[in-house]
Amino acid sequence: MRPADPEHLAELSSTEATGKRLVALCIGLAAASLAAGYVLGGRPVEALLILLLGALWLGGEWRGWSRVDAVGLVGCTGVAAAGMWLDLAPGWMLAGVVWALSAWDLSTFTRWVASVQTAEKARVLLRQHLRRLLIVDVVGALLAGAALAIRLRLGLALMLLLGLVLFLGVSRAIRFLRRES
Amino acid sequence: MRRILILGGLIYLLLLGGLASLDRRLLVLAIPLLVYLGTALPFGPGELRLRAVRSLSPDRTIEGPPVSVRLSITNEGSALEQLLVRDLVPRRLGVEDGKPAAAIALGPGETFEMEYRLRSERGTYDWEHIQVTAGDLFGLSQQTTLVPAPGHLTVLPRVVSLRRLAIRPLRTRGHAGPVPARQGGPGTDFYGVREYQLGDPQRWINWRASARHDAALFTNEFEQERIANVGLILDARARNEVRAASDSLFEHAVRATASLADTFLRDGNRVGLLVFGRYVDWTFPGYGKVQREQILRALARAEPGESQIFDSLEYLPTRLFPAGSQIVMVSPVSRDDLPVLLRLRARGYQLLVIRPDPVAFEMQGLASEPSVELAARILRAERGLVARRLRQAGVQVVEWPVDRMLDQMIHASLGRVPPWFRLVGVES
Repeated sequence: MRPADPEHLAELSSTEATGKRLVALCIGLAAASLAAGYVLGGRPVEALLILLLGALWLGGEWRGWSRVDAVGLVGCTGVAAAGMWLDLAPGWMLAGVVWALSAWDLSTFTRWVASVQTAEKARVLLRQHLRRLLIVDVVGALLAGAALAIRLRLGLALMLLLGLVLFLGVSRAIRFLRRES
Repeated sequence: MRRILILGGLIYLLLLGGLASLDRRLLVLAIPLLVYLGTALPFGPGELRLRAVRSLSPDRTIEGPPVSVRLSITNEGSALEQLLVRDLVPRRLGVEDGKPAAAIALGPGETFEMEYRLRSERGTYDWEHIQVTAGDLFGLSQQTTLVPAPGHLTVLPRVVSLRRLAIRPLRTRGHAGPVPARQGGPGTDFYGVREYQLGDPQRWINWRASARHDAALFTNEFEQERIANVGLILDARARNEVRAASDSLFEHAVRATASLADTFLRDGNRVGLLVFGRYVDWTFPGYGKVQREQILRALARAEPGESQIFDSLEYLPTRLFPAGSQIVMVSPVSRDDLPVLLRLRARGYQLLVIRPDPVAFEMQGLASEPSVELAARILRAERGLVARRLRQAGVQVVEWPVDRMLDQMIHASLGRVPPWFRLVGVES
């Protein structure tokens, strides 16, 4: 490996550029999905604000602002939750969250992959990561779609119990991952 | 903020919102996030078991050409999905080519090699560790650790070839060399005339002197040439350091000292080095290539520094230098230093002072304003006075604007000997 090879550097930056393009695509799709849900629900002003949020996220990514990805994810999830609460089409909201999650993930991954020293390896790692992310997105979307479609009648006690179990499970998962750090 | 906290916070908020409003759709929104979190869980970095080997090529060099650093990292533990390796480059060394950081995924037993090049700045550098950050599949949890990867680099100062310096110490050593020994004997330069002794070569007989005496023959005597003790002193006191842009006056002084050491050793002299600054770094006198290497290594680690004790030349350990030897000092020399130098001269040391010019050096980076010009004139006048006092005491002084060649300045200053110099006993 020759560090100074301009061809090698060009290939590396092309992988990074691909990653950035994918981030931009995901941000665009997240904003578009959420905005579509709001427009279809008769709320064009809010849709414009959502597009503005998407544009801000995109601009922040472009200019390399730190933590803009976190703000974007939180913003999009908040907008989706508000959309659900306002009885807007849940499919669009769900799609918005999935795309926002993908953009958030790819934003970090693209920064990491920029430090890979060989262009070939960078391409392989990017492809591998995209495959995994796609699977996670599809599984998440399918499960969420199924959860929207299936209706179960649960008593308050059982629902509280399930909520508590979910809470504890998530707490344990987070604690485990933080301990690993 | 850590990614896990952002994701966890969002999941909690959606769960709380869903349970509080009894709205399952909010819970549904949390599902993709939960799947994402759940997928990352089994792929955590676990215990990091990495072995790193560093190789520097070369590990001893002269400032200028780049140094290549190669790191080989082997994963002796479980698979690592996202690994970021960052080498902790010493601050003074700039990266010229490549990156001292690399991202990689390493399977069990796999080895990864990275390479980058550094600008070689004079100094000695030690590497202890590399920093390794390992993350899970999605970088939610990260573990950072230091992996030992020792390495040592010595960058010696650049040596400029100088012509032979004519030095005349009071005492010389026993072996033949290039320094006039102030003693009659075999040599090339005429020294005097003495009465003929049995065994003197016939061609040495001074016929003109012998013709004036009826019963005696006289022989020409030549000056013996021997090697000398040379003590180099590098002034590393922080108050003499001047920085302009990215250049440093001290670096020029170090290169000058290295060049002088090289010249004196090449002539066969016995050379020692004293670096006088934050502390005293003494390189015992010696001869030849080994001594050259030792002096260059001492100069490589020389740094300008402050010390209350060594702020004045008063505590210069002059007893390290043999009596009557040649002392060569590389220092801007201020007015406060005069008494010590004059005392050295009075004790019989032959003194040569190379004075890097801090005024000319600093003026290069300053705007040409009347106040600056006036300040420079005052400083130059003061430097001139110091130089005059030194010369009056028989100290040889070389004023050196560092943008000029040292060799040129030395020979311009020492080449011609003013007549009044001879009166105080300095011949060249």
